[in-house]
Amino acid sequence: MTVNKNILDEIIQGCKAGKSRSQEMLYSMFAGKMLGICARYATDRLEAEDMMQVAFVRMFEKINDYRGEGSFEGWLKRIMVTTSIGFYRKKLRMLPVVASDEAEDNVVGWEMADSRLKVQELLTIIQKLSPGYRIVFNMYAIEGYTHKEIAKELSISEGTSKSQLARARGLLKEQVLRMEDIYNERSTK
Amino acid sequence: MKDQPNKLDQLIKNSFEDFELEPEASSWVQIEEKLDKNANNKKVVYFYKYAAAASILLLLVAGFYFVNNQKSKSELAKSETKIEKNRTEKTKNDLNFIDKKDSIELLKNDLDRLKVRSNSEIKSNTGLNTIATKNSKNIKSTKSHLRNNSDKTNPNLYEPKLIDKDKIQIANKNDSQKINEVIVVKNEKQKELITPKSDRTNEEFITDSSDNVIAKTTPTEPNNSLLGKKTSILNLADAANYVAGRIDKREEKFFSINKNAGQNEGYSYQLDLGLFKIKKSRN
Repeated sequence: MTVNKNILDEIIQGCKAGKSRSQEMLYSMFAGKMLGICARYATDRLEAEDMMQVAFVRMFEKINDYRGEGSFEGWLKRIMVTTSIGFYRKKLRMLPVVASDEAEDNVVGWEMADSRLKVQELLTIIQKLSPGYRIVFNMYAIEGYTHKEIAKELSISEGTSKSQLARARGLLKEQVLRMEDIYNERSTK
Repeated sequence: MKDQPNKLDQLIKNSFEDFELEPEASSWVQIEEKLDKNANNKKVVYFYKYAAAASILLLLVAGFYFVNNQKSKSELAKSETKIEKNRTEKTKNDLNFIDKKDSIELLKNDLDRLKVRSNSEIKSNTGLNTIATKNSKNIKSTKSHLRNNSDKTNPNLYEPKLIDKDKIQIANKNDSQKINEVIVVKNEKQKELITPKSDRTNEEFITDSSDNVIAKTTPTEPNNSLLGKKTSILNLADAANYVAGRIDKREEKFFSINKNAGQNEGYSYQLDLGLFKIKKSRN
């Protein structure tokens, strides 16, 4: 975290007092990063913006709940995630899918665990996944929720969460491999 | 195996580390607008809350005013009836004073002992006399008086009439009626004095064969107004009514439970809040 903690605390205090200036400062500090999170849960840029705005409004309204325990960024992230999920909660009709073993096997010879893919392209792939797969994969693989937490958050069973993740992985692997091929082809040319 | 981080997961996670997107320039303005809107909504909610509270208060005040108005009216009416009551009691006392010595005492003392079964038995004065002679000294004087004056039309005649005992018992059996007072009257004139004709509708007279009033029965009022009357508390409804009566001195209580008349036996609850009256029947 690049922001000085004391400055952040001061800004948070200002937000608790309802100061508009502090709110704007807090927003400008985190907006970019939070939009990056929301984008993974949304289908497009517009929806991501919407999610982020609603989440910020919600955060400002209950900022008094933040007692300074744990990092503020973590707290804010959680609000972003739950708000983003909220956009789909009503539409979400997740059924347990038959998990393919293929998805679970890690034999794929990727030697790029530390490497990075082109994020914008990866984001597009993720956004094309169906909401159920997208949300479960995001929560588990990126945000680090456990299946138990996901199940509770989405009102589904742990089994459903697991099978959704497996299916998401299967689809993503396919896409990522294709992306890799294109990438490699480009670089070799 | 599952504890080990999935390579794909790891790859994607790493890719998104420090990932940021530039928000729209208008984004902050939209957030501010939403915050303002929500604050206004809150204000609106508070306004409605206060408005609701104020209207309830207004209703209560209006109801209280209405109730007070009614209360003073009913108090006025009550005092009027009290005056009337006093007046009638006064005349009654006067009459009682006239009759007490000779007639009521006679009745009280001798009624039990005189076994008169029907009016026909006391038709003749001689029959009465024969029974009367057996009894106490009190009637001895009247007895001689009777012998001397056998003419009924004589206004000075003192002629004790005895109440038919069976009739009294019948009256007692009837719940709605009680013999309040037993007054022996000499003649029609006194009958008029005791009960002005306007009041007679509620009262019944026990008369003998010659249509002279020998006793007056007044039907007891149904136990509607509990105020100032001895009440017997038999069940919860009575208790509730008693409490209500203690608090509320008006004729129509703010709360009352009445037994339903008719075939549908049950209770009806009545809540009287001045402007509003709520009535519910339950079996």
